[in-house]
Amino acid sequence: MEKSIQTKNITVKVFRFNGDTDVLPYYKEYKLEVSQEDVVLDVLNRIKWEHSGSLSYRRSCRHGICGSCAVKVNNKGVLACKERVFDLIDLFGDELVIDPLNKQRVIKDLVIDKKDFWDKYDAVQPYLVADVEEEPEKENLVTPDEVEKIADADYCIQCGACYYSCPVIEVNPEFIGPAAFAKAYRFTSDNRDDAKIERLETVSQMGSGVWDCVKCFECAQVCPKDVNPIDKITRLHQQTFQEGVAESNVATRHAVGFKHSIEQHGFLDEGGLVFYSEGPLGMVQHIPEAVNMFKNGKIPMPWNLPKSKNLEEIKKIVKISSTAKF
Amino acid sequence: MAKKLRYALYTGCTAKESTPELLKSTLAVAEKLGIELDIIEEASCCGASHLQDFDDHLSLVLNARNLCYAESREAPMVTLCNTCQLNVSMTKNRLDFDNKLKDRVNQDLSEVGLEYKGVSDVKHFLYAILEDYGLENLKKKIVKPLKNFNVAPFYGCHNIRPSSLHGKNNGGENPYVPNSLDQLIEACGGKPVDYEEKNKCCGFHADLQAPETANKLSGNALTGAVDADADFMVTPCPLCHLNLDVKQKKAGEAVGREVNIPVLHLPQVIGLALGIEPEKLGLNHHVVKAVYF
Amino acid sequence: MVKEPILISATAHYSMGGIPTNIRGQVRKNRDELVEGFYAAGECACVSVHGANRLGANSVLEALFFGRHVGKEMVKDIDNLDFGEVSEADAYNMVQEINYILRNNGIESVSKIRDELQESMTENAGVFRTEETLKKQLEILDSLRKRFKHIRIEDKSRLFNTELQEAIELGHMLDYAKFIVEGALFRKESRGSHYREDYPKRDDENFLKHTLAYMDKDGNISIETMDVTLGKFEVKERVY
Ligand SMILES: Cc1cc2nc3c(=O)[nH]c(=O)nc-3n(C[C@H](O)[C@H](O)[C@H](O)COP(=O)(O)OP(=O)(O)OC[C@H]3O[C@@H](n4cnc5c(N)ncnc54)[C@H](O)[C@@H]3O)c2cc1C
Ligand code: SF4
Ligand code: SF4
Ligand code: FES
Repeated sequence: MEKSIQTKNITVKVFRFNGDTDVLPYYKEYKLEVSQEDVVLDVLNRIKWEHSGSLSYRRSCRHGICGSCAVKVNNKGVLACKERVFDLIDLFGDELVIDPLNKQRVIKDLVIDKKDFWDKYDAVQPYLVADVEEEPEKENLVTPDEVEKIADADYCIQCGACYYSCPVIEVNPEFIGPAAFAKAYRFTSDNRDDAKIERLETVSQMGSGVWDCVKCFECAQVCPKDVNPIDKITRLHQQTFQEGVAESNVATRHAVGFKHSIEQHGFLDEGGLVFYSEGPLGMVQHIPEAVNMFKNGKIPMPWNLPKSKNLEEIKKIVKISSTAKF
Repeated sequence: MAKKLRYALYTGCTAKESTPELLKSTLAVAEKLGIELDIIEEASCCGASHLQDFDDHLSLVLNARNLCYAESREAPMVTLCNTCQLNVSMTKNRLDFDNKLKDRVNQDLSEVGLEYKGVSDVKHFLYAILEDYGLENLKKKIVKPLKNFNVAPFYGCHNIRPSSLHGKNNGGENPYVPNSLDQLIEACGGKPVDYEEKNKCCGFHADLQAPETANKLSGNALTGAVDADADFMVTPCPLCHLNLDVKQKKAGEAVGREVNIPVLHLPQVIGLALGIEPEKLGLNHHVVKAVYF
Repeated sequence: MVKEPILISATAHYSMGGIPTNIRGQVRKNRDELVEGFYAAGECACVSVHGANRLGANSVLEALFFGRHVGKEMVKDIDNLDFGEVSEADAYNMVQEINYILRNNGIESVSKIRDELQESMTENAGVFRTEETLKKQLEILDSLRKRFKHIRIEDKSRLFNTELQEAIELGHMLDYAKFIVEGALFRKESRGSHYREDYPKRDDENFLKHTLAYMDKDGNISIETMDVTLGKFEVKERVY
């Protein structure tokens, strides 16, 4: 089927705010005809070049490699130079609202201050730490299998779309965030790197580290380069155990507790798991909820705990398939 | 309907323990709709993304084993929990696309006489109703429409994100503007309300180590629904349910509000509209009682 | 299969030539002299390792090797260099350039002039050019440069002013375009990525030379040449 280039009429509402002159931000509406091949950046450029020269946004390479142009359209984080407007119309209809990645950090219009993003990025030492020979005699060979481990972590362009879509960042300013975790993994899985343990220690701190991720998959969904940060976060968790960096705390015991529970019952012993993770003292804080749950028949008595049929089979699997120790 | 629907039901842990009402209501609804659910009693926990943090291989083998029992029933697997859905389908996806990995896993499974083949699909109950049973068919069976109720859908993360994984088993739900639950609420006669947090995270998976984070996220969701004038919320995920119902008080406190809003499981809402008595749907198990029913 | 039209457009991949330097990265003032304390390396520089064309993937040499090498040379020199004199007038000129754009109340739009510049340069001074198209382009450039004096921008603020930035860049693009066109007119032969349809053959006798071009205050360009150091390799036609 042969098609010619289609066009559509849309209304675009753009977040405007000039920190020098405006007291409050506002939305300005523009009506445009867009074509099938237009990306969001084309829309912004047209507004800037044909309607309002003062509209400010970051852009540079315009082919998805510099990471400067990320914005939100109807709350979806996008790389402006990659996201096709027609795809957005399919999702949201013909009224598009373009916002900065984070409204609290706006400098001007769609330009935000990414200092928090970069500070956390720096915290994981986003570079190879190795004694590199000044005048090497031969290449430093890395095998395809070793490269495979780094996986897609290396494709990150630091656009910040994941970071400013992460719900934990919004409520916990200490949280290092998906992009920096993915970068940490990029080096902890690089066999030439010498700072693996140090990085794993940084990313496994309670409060700021990987254990504070709520596993919402927003970062995996939004990433325009398919870095899949939550997948890298999971691998960092695993590495902290593999490398003996994991300390015994409520989070690590919780993860390990699943194994014990499965081994004993097949299913979880939810109460037992919380007890194992929190310890007797930590348990106290859960008492009000536990009482409530008990009253409402949400806590089975030990003799009523569900057990899997074929429990012996599960025990055997846990025995032969376990690969991690704690 | 041409053929009777039949699934291998993977209950997960929560529906057997802290949200028994979920299993109860699911079975009641299935019976009423004539859907056959064959419970996989041999199954183990899916690892809930936590075992995955510790031991990737073990969690793969355990999930593959669970899938084997759906395969031996020659039925697609149906799940009741978003996180089960995520972990099972992530396992399936990895094994189906990586033969080497599949061989490794099957080597372990062969020790207990099993083999993962990859022939059973895995679907959340929500999408089994929506995609397989069909909303039109459901509408025909509604006898007690939830008229005059404003209902806040709460989707939960692991059914909609990442869409690259879930897309083919959730009708291509768009994670930014999901609408399956909205449609279901409408089919049951209720009025879905729109609010910003409906596709956001409840924070469950960091409950123990970062309760402030989890409570704030749940608190935002609850107040979002309240402010949108919802009479109650509905979720397809028992873990979201725990955070929104059992921990409602703390969640409200975390965002400086007193909230009091019932949260129903998806099959409870369907069940009510089908005219099933509230007790059979386990409404009595909730901490915040759904006083309307 | 669905057939859909896709957008294809030309993009700048690499800029051949540039700021002439010696092998230490010191910028040349002309054939014989250097500018003290001024170094260049990378794509902006022309240390003359590539000839009239750059092979794919070879900017690693310019950017990585010379970046490092020139940096090291700078370290060697730095102790023996003093800061040059900076006059208040120089600073004033810079400020004036910016203020002129901010305050000018003309009728021309930066984006329109830039569009016309880009389109006409692609058309008349792209890879394939002739004396006729180049001369035509010189006229277009003169008129665009005049119009540039009458631009007006909307954004008068001092905060992240990308409109101001685009205007300044356009001024530089107009200058740079003139260097390209005059250089192409001067070179009556075809070599590397410069293809004169009216002179399709390479002419080593007259043009195996570097072009050094200078712009005066009024925007006029004068040209001189400099010999090419050939080294080990003989000049060859690119046949792929
Ligand atoms: C699409 C594309 C693909 C390419 N692919 C390849 C390839 O596959 N292989 C290959 O070898 N080459 C390739 N090249 C060419 C190569 O990438 C470049 O030549 C090389 O990156 C140039 O490096 P550089 O450091 O010299 O300059 P740049 O990387 O351009 O750096 C110049 C820096 O100067 C800064 N700057 C500019 N003005 C100012 C100012 N006034 N004050 C302060 N800072 C300023 C800029 O912000 C920038 O950071 C490609 C180029 C493009 C465009
Ligand atoms: S999965 Fe974790 S890191 Fe990614 S967006 Fe959610 S909370 Fe943030
Ligand atoms: S991980 Fe993806 S979304 Fe996050 S900064 Fe990198 S490229 Fe952007
Ligand atoms: S402009 Fe560079 S990534 Fe969009």
